[in-house]
Amino acid sequence: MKQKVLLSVNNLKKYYDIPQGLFKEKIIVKAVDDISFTITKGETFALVGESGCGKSTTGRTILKLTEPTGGRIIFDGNDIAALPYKKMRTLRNRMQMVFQDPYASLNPKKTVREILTEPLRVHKKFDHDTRLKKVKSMLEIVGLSEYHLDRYPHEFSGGQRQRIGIARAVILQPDFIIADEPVSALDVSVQSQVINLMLELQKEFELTYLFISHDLSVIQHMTDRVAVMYLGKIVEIAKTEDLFTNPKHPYTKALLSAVPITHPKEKKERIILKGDVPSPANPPSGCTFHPRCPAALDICKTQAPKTSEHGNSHSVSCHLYNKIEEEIPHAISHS
Amino acid sequence: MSEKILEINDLRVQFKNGKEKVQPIRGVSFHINKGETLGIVGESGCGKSVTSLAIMGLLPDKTSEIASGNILFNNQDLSKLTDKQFRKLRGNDISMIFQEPMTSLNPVFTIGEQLKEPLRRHKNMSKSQARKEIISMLQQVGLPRAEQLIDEYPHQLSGGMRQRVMISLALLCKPQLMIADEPTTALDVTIQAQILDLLKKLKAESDMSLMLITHDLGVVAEMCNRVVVMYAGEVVEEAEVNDLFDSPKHPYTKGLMQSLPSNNDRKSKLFSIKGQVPRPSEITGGCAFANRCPHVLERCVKETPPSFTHQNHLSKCWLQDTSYKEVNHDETKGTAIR
Amino acid sequence: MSANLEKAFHNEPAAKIKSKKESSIYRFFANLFRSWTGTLGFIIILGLLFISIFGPWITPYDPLYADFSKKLLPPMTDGHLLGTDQLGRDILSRIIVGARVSVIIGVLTVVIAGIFGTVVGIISGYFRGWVDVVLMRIVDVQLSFPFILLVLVINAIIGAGLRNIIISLAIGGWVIFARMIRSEVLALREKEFITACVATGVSRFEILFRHILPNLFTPLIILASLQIGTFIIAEASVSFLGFGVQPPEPAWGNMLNEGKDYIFSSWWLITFPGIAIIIAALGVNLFGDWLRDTLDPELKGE
Repeated sequence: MKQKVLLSVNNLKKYYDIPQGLFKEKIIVKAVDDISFTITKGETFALVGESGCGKSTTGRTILKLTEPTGGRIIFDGNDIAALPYKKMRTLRNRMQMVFQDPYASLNPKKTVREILTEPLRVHKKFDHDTRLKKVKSMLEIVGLSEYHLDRYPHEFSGGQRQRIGIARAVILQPDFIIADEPVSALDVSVQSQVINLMLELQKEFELTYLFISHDLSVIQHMTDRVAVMYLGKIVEIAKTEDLFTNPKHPYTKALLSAVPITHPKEKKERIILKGDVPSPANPPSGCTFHPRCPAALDICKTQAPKTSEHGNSHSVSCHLYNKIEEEIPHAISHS
Repeated sequence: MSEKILEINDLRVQFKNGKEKVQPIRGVSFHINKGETLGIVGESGCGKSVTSLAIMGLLPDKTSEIASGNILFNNQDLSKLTDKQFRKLRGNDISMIFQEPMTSLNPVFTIGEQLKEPLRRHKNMSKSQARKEIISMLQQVGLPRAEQLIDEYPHQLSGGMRQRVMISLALLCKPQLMIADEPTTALDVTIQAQILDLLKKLKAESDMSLMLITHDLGVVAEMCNRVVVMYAGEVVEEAEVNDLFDSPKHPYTKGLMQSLPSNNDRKSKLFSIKGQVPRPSEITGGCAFANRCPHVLERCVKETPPSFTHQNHLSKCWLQDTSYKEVNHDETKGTAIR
Repeated sequence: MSANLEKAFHNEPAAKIKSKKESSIYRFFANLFRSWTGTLGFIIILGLLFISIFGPWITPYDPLYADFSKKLLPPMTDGHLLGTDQLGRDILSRIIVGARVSVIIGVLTVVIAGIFGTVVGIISGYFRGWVDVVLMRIVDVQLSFPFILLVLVINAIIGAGLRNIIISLAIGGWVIFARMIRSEVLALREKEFITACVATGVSRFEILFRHILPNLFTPLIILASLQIGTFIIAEASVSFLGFGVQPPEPAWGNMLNEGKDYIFSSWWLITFPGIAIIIAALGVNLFGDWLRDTLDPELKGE
């Protein structure tokens, strides 16, 4: 069964120039460096990685909140990267975003009514009364009530604000929502409420999610496929279950092993990575992961690995897998 | 039983904002044994950070006060100490690491300048002695190039390295108690694993006690001997870590554990605690968790439950009433004050 | 850690906020009376407004009536509370009537300079590019020129008088507004809720007028209230130097000017207008300071 591709990202690049003063050469930061993936309709695709790996930049570039440096972003047949501002504006009613920080992403001077009516007004949907009806029903759906209409964001708790943020994204009934760390600013008990809400909304409105997160347990719970990012590059893409049971890239393995245990009696073999994530302004040569990789080979220092397919749409960018399958060394299996 | 290094009895802290008074902590009691790691778990606003500030004597002077209760550190009541006495204690016998390694170091001083402060103040060390001590401490917390690092500025270090520097700062005077307030929350998973690993190693090497404040049950499972669960300014449950994870007694703790994605089937609806944490002003009589509790009884709304203890497993919930006997009679009187 | 503390503080009043008008006015005064400096400033401002509106009806004497038989009377003699000047005019009456000039100039100048500066600041901060560069260089050039000197030069060109002094003060004062508004806009542009608007598909102009402008209101009010004090003093200085309001029309500045010749013989000529200026400027500044202290944390807290 072939599913319809909703979004395909091809060789997307986003570089930032950082001027270093008059006489020094400016530094180029490759925040997103040549990544490609596709998202099919109705699925939840996750981007996972640590801070600075470029996952948020990827999300913002797809929505054209920042201009891509290179590559193509094709959303339902439209090349977003080449779209002028005005055309892009009309396309925005089909792709929306949920932000990480529910405190920063709502205008403090606007009431809930104004915040939720705005998308409908901007895209000239419905008349005044129908809009109000829509807003009210949307509030019910996200677990708030009509009675909250004329309140300001600071009167709500973090979880409630995130519900408002989600309502704002869903009210236009878009096809595609990018959720950038939607639950990481929330408390555990509220986090589960918001995750449930997102899953319900997905069913009800047939949404496609690009879910950006660093929290592996949340990703395992609610996504279908995962792309693991490290220093601006995708190192592994796989179905979620596949990735969690059979991670291939050494970084993915370390990442999974670093997740805290869920019960004190659980024994877990840890792969503790050496050092910190290098600065994207000055990435290591060859495979950017090699200085921290427990299984680094000589070739890793000089040559960037190619991406190879390993069945079941599982792809990895690592020299260990560029050779014959059997040779996968035992060295990196849970050490 | 082993010796108690810190004991907190019925601590109440009051914040004033004009005429309005708030009690973010309402009658907190717990203790830390020598050499153990005690986890304090709770969500934002539960009072866990305020508790740690009260222990350190860092509550804002003008707007807050300890309304009642005491904090005994080696049998000395910290709540009565003067500023000067506290300064002697802080960084020496008790030290603290904070959540935000980015902001807890002063950007205009080098690492060495910041670290030598407590050594010079508390231990009266000479410059060269202090430098040697600092370098060996930086090495101990796993920082590479310690000799160069000591002369570098905080902005030259990454988040993980800064948190290591903070830990070495906290360890320099070999404190008896270290308070770590969300030490890994701002860090990435792989760095968190490094830091937790380091804390475990350091704990194993000394008989220091560790009070670990966190919202992450995984971190608790990994690090702690005993756990205190706080909700809305109260201790709702206290137990050995295995007991707590095997058989949580308070509905809040149960809910917290069940709502973790890893304890639910993939793509299923997560268990969740309905509603939200009440604001301090919204707590009146009765159990603070009553409005969110799935097992709420009529009694819960009217009367504040006392702490019930059974085999060192404390729970502040009326559900424990039938089978266990009441230990803390004073607790019910506390409601009258409120 | 401090964030937690702050939450503990902010949660409480937030629970009681009602989005009604009365309660916000009530909160304003409840807050004001908590600070004695703010209250003092507020009272002085009310007093200033009162005498500048009703001045001509409450003066004990005609401020323009000269009686040479009673010139240079010291305070508290012959029913002249603050004494008389070199022409025998009642000083108290002249101060009361002169208040109107100060208030009119303070308020009007702030309004004109504020509007012009805000427009420039918004254009600069929101659209950036070469417009920003050009406008900000103009601001830089003007800021490198002493304020009072600039005002005097403009006055020398366009002439003295109430209208002209307002014009010259506004020309001298808009740059501060432009600077501050620009930096506010720059900060607001990067806020996530503005990004959220772009993501929703809101047009650039709507973002500017519906989202950025309302958020500029608070800093603008604060700056304006503080600037009024500056302009009142500036007007007095200019009048003192003879460029402002022309005699015999009383203004605090030209009273100082006329009195300066008698400073050694009749100290009251120059002292009382001076005190009036100090009180007015102090009142406005105290109130402005209080405004900033109460409104600013709210800005940060959100």
